[in-house]
Amino acid sequence: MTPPADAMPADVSLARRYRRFSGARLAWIAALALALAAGFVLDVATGPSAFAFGDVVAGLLRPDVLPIDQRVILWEVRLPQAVMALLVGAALGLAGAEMQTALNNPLASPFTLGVSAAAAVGASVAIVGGLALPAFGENLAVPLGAFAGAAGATLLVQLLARRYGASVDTVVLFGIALLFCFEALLWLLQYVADSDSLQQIVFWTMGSLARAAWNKIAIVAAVLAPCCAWSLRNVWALTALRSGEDQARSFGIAVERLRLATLLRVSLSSAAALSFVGIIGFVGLVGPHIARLLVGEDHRHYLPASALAGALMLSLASTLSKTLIPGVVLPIGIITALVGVPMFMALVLGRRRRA
Amino acid sequence: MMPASTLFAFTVRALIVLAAVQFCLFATPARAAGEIELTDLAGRTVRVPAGVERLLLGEGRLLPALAILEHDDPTRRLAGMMGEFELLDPTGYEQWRRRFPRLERVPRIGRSSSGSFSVEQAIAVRPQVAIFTLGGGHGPGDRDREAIERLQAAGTAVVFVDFRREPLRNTPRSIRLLGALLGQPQRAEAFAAHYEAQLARVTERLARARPAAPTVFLENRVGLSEGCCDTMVGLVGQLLDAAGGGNIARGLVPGDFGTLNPEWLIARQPQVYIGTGIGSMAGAERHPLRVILGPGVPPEAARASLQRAVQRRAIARLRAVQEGRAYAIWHHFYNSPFNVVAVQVFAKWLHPDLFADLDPQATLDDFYSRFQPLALDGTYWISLR
Amino acid sequence: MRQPVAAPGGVEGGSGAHTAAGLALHGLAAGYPGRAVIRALDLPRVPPGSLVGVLGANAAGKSTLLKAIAGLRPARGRILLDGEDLNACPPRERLRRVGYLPQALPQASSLVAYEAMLAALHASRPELGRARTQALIEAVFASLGLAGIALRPLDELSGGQRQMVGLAQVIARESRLLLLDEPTSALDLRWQLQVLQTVRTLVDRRQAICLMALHDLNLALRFCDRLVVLGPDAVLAAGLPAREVDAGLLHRAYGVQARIERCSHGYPVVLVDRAVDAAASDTDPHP
Repeated sequence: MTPPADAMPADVSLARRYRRFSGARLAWIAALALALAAGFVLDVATGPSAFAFGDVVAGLLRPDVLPIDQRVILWEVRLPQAVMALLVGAALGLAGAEMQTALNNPLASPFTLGVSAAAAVGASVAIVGGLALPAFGENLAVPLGAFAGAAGATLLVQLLARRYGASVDTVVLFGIALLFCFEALLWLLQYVADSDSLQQIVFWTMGSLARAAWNKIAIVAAVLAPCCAWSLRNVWALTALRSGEDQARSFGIAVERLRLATLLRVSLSSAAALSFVGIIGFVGLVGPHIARLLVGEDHRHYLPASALAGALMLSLASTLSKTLIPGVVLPIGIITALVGVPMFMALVLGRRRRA
Repeated sequence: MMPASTLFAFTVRALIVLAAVQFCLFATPARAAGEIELTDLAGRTVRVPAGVERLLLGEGRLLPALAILEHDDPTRRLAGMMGEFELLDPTGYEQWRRRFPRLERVPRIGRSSSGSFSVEQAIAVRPQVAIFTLGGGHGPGDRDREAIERLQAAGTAVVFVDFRREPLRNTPRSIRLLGALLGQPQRAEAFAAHYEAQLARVTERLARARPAAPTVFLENRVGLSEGCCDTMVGLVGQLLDAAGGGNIARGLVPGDFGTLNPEWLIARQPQVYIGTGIGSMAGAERHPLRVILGPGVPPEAARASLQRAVQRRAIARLRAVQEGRAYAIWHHFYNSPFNVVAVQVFAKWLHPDLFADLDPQATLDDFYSRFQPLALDGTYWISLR
Repeated sequence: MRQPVAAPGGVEGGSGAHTAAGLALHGLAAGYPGRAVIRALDLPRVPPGSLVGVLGANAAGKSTLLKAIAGLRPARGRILLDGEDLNACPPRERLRRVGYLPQALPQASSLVAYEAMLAALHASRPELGRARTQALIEAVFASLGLAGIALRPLDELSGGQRQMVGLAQVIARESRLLLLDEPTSALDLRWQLQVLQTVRTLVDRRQAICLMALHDLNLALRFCDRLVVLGPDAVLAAGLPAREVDAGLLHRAYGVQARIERCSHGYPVVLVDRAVDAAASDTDPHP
């Protein structure tokens, strides 16, 4: 090997160089957080009704200052949507990052294993059946249906993987089979639904933040927080997995168990995120890539950066969905797909040029 | 000095008067001055201000219903409305716009699907009362809990009416509700009574004579899809049932509408074919298979479009079509307060002898002249021959 | 120390009664469902400070042997490290004692080499504090000459550099028994020598034991004390001193006709003449 061109002077120890190096990473994370804050404020400040920026700020600090209709718009319409965008985006970004590591595939997303299709089936069953489950001041039938569907698919993959082996190929194949199966079920449900239900189903599958409310946000946060904590406990094992499956196994990491636990966690958090807002794609796929470009793959930095990137993406998408066509709020799943595809292509081409 | 009996009588009378006054004061629940309590079609008890000045329409097509009660200018009190009227029934909308130009300037709070409803814009126009319809998918419905709650939090009362889920039962109820809301109970009662009478002309005679129900294929929105055999059981199908028709799709189609297999249809050979028309004169070239009906449509154009429509392969093979028992009706009767006219039209087609004296055109003319600010114009149903 | 015979079959190994330092294998059998790869391997006790080369043709079972000792594949028999049977050890304990380097290179991700080391040590030696971990990584990188690429992402490194990083990961574990599966497969001439030199030094200094699977016979003969030679069907030699390799053994192991000569510096050198039919006797001249 040729001596490195950037040979460091011998007195600068490796540890110090690494500290500087990871300091740059932390700076990127801080930058993402700042961008997210700006995106959040922008999201709250945009909407179909005329709302001066000064009024927005005043209304956030002292709600009594505004007339009742503006107060309701700010606190019951815009803020819940913006906060839900943050939560769901962060959940999807984090879940996507873990998925890509667990399946060792940069094209994986939280929905690779059929979780989203299963959630759609669960939600559709609740919609078509007209089920009602009032709790916490909400009809929880549809979100619970979505969650149950996603959880069912997850458990099925787990059981199959435990029985037949949890290698990457096996798990992905199971997931794809489930995906097709659930999509077919979804079409069947759409066929037997009446027009009302059909429109609800279609709208659910396009994803929408319009129904965000504070109690729903509380429920989603209550499910996501433990998943987050659980992720953080695995950062080192996941990082080790990145240097190679055989290597990780040789360090004593139970790779299959780690993979199954990660998939379970990913499915739970993405199911929770989807239950209330419908299917929002691309955030779980593109967010991790952005994070990887900025902070690399040490999961201590990568996972938080993925969450931030996902939240930023969804926050911007939420703003776009309100402003793209004046007077119309586009379903957010459409925006993330429209924006996500060119972003993804740019990332893929950029990688190819570098490689 | 009063005799004891007079004193006793006076005391009793005074007590009775006091009791009556007390009863009047405390029997009625405490209510803010100028508020009315109503029960809407979703079963909700709603308090609305006595004199409503700012209304929000959850469906633009509620305008004709509103006009029944507000004869002079139904657009006067509109603070905002959903934008599906101009998108789904452009000719109809054009009629209204020409008569009431103010309609153009009423702020829109969404487009044609219930998902496009913007609760923020609805709140921003500060309505006192929002009128929504039960279900339907073209505007916010009773399941849109967030929208309802937010409007109520902003001080808007939300009231539900219905013209499509149970059209014949709920149309008069909805009009009566709107009458109470807008302070026009007499007009509402006049309409409801006339409606119920017109409906009874069909239902009572059917109940007495109990004729066999001819089998009917009701095609939904002829020409919308390329092929064939969309049908409906709900919506216009309910009007068909009331007129004594046997919808062949009953029991086969889940929900309100669906698609039948053309082969099965040909094998089944229904006795009557009825299609619903969504075509317009302006769109005749772009959509040649649609049946043209509605305001401003001459009967010849309507008949010609129906003749074109029944030449489609699956439909042309039906004996009903070959023998001339094919008809078309205006699709938007499914959401109109004048849907009882459609019942009469069906009754006349299905049981021509039993209803020889029925004149649905006269019924519709009458309704329009008494209850609408627009002149009746155009063809709303047609037969093949 | 007894001189083992250069023939397959059971050989008396060290007794398990007194705690003898070193590595010994008794009747080790490992394989895959339906296919036994190693049938009964007996390795007489190898003392600490030994470098043992594992040789054999492709699919002879070198990787399987190393994985079996590492505990990554099920195995029967006894694996005695310093008198204790590794098969009977709890996995955590086994991991502390044994460091295994897989044949596959660390994968090309955007993880930087330093982070890969941190993760490896966090998983295998969690008891080290941050300061000691950093010092250890620095020392290992220095000994392998990797300080320059420490902060480069793995996907920007060549295969050889990645292999060095993998080696660094296993060396940093400072384990008693090192199992290296073809650690020089992607390295150029110079680095092959350096790696073997480093491992030799390490083994001598810490009195560790290293089993190394190699394809390069010359390196094996030069650096290894003893050899384990796996033939296509049976173990051909176990614990054979390196200088006792002969052409017959090579013929049986690799199916080649070869000569072993001394070079001008006194090291044994293998010169392969041609591939021959494995069933032929080594004295028959072949056209």
